[in-house]
Amino acid sequence: MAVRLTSVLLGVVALHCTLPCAAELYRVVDQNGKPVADAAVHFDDRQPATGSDLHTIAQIDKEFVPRFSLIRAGTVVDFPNQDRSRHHVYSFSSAKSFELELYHGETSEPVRFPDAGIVTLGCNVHDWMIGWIYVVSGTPVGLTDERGYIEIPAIDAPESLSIWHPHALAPMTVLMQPDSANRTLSLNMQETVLLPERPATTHTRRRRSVRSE
Amino acid sequence: MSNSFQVRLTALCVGLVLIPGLIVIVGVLGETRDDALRSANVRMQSSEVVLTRLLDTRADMLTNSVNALAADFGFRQAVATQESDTIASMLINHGARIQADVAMFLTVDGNVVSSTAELADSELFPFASLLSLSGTDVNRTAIIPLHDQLYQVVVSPVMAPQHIGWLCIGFTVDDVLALELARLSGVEVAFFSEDARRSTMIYASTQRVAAESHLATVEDTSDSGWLTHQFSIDDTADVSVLAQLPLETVLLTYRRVRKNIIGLFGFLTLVSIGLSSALARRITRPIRRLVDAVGRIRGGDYGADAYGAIAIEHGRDEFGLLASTLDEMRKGIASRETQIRRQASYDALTGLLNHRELMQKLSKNGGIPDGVLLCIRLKRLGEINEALGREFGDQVLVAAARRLKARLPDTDLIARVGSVDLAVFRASATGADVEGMGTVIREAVATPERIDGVSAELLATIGAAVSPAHGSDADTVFRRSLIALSNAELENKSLVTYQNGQDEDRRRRLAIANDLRAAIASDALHMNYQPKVDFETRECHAVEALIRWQHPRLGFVSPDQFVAVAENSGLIGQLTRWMLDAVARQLSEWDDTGLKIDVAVNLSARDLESAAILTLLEDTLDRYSLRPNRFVLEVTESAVIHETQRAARILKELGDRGFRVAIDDFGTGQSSMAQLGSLPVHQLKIDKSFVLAMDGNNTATRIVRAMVELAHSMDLKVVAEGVETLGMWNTLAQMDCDVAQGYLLSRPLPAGQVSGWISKNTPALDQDIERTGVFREMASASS
Repeated sequence: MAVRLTSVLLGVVALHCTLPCAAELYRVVDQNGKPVADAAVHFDDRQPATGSDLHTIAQIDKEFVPRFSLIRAGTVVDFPNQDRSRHHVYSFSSAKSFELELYHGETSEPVRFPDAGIVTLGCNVHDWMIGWIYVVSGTPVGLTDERGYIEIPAIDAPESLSIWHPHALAPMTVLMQPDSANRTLSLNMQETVLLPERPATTHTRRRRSVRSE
Repeated sequence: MSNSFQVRLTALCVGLVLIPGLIVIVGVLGETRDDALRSANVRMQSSEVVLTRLLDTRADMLTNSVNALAADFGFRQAVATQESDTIASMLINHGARIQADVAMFLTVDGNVVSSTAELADSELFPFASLLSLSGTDVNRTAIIPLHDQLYQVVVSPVMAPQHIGWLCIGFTVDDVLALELARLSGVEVAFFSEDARRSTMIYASTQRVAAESHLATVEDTSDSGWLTHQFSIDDTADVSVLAQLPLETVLLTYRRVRKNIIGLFGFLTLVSIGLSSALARRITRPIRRLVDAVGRIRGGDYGADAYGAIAIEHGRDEFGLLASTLDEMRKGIASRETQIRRQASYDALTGLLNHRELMQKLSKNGGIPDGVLLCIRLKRLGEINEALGREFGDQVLVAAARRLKARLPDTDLIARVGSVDLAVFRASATGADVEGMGTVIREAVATPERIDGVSAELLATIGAAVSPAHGSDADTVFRRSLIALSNAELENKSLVTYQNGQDEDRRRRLAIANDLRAAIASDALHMNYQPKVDFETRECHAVEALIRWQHPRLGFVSPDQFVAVAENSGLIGQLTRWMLDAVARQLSEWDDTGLKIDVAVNLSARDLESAAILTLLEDTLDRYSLRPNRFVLEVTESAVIHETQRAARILKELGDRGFRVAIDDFGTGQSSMAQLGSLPVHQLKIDKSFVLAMDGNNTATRIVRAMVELAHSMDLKVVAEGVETLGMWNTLAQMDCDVAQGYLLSRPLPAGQVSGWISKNTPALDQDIERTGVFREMASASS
């Protein structure tokens, strides 16, 4: 692990050195080499969290859209309801615990997320609805795509980079080296994760265990 | 016999009804029982499915409740606080809503955060298998023991909305649940487990006691009174379910049916026995009646018409036929018996009574009635049979019988008692009637009759016996009439009446004949010797050997009697042999003592019939080294006369060999002088009847004198027998008689006394005979 970590850092450094202003394509995989989608990547301390960004997480067809959001700490998130049924959005997460009781349309108050952490969103009316907000204090880089790829801007000097995922055993922080040739970031993921599943019909509710991809 | 047939018939009928019934009943009952057991077993097998299904359904219901609880927003909110006190309160509060007996909350990793049941610190969550995250259809329910309690446990993940922990709710599996399951499944239910030491833990049971007692012997299913089926309900815990059915319940219907059927069968048995025995009695009744009727036939009662009644009653059926057949048999037997009786009583040829029937008739009143019994022998009938054939002889006999029947009164009993013997009994007749009856019978028999052109003539010899004079029973009288008949034949008379004593003579002769052989063999006979005295010299030169027999029972037996018996019974040869041997031995003894006398022995006429006598005599002499001239062989006149030719030859032979021959009892026979002259004879012995009859110059005296002179003229010596008085002696001496023998001189003496007598008397004889005391003594003794 140490070796790999070193090589990744070396790769990041190398990339950062040769192409100071360009971005490098990285890939995030789990311990089995499988790509990890929707992992949040951000630099920890490049810039302090400032400003009041706005972010919108709509509820469309009884799903959070987008399902994964990456925001800087202090961002205000609006939860517009585009469904005809009411939603009751809540979070019991320690980073931000809140509750938007049954509401229609744009009637809910926007929520501000001042603290870094992963906030899990749920709906008390629709148990299968789940969404995550990565609230980071550094500079967000982005979310990995379905194949685990993400473009990370080149760096000049070693920098601390964090990769979060709700199903990771723990958030990973790496010290990226400008010259590192390693473009693969490995994340230790839970083997199985139990997720609420949307029922095919309203009167059967079965919980399925879903293997995280 | 008919009784046992009746019993068998009853048994057969009963058996015909009951045995198939029994077979059917056994079959039906067996099948019913098997079926009850089979369907009970099926029920037991399906009880597993039913119970599993019931438990699954309950699990589903409980799962729904638990899931609803896990999804409760307030609950999730409280859990999300991660405050253990709050969580514990929630578990108690929300668990009570769904009547949970145990509630626990666990982390995603399965660590117990809070529990209503007390768990030791080190204790891990006991139902870890339910927390699987993998698979799509994870079973989150189980029936699991915890702290000696059995729980149906349901685990539900708590999603907020991501998976934040587990809610685990347990519902007690207790007797109440067991009862509910039993009610639904229809079998008794017990939940139990067996640990490694095979001790059984029962968590819940409908019949705790029964289950416990059964569980002790869970393998044994047949005798315990329970049908059991054991199965496992959960792979994760060693808890088994025991489904049970009491046999009593299973076999309830079967037993009721069996009881009813057995009762019914018992009733049927009684009814069939009753009906069968009535039927059997009815069937065997004619048989019994026939047996009675046959029994009467056996008893000799042929008149019974029992068969007729049976035959009419039964018509042409088997019993009717049997009855009429028996009736014909009865008639046949009756007529045959009459015939047989007739044949048994009557002579088939002549139609006269037979001997047996005559005897029966005469003995009818215990003894023979007074009357005369005549036995008639038909002489010549045997000759007629021989000459003209038996058939002709039979016709002659039949004709004679017919004539006899015609001439005798009907009251006379006429019988055929032998092949040529008839008998006639006339009741109330006496001895005076015998002659008259004899005459009638003789004439009847002797009347000539022509048969097939041949005239046959019979003669009757008749023996008569009179009752009661000659006997009081039929057998005796008949036997005595036969004695009279044989006497008549012997005496050549046509009619002889039995004289009392003849029967005794006959018996005596029989006893003599019986004992003589033994007497000869055992030397019971002995010889006496009577001296013979010469008239001229008055000396004794010879003795006559006389055989004597002292019978142990009959006393003295006269030689005349037993010699005659010996002659008739073929013992004469042995007798002669014995006598000659005894005499020769005696003679030899006398020779040894110096007594020189000759001996005269008497030979039987039979001895002269064969030349064997020559050999016998010579052998005897040889044995004792004697010469023949010491013997005088005395032969009776009649013996010589009847067998002249052969006897003469033998006598001559004897003479040639040196024996002297004397004619004994001379004068009693009818010998001619010519015959006498031709015989080789040396002496004549004048029969004592002549000597004893001499008186003066009477006829006897003259005959004796003539005989003496005749003998002398033929050069024969004369011996006079029966000299008993001195007068006789003198008369005979005067006639020149040669030798005297008689009581005047001496009675026959035992051998031992002969020598004494001769030495005592011979000198005296030399002197005056008149003075001889012995002579006088003898004379007086003989008179």
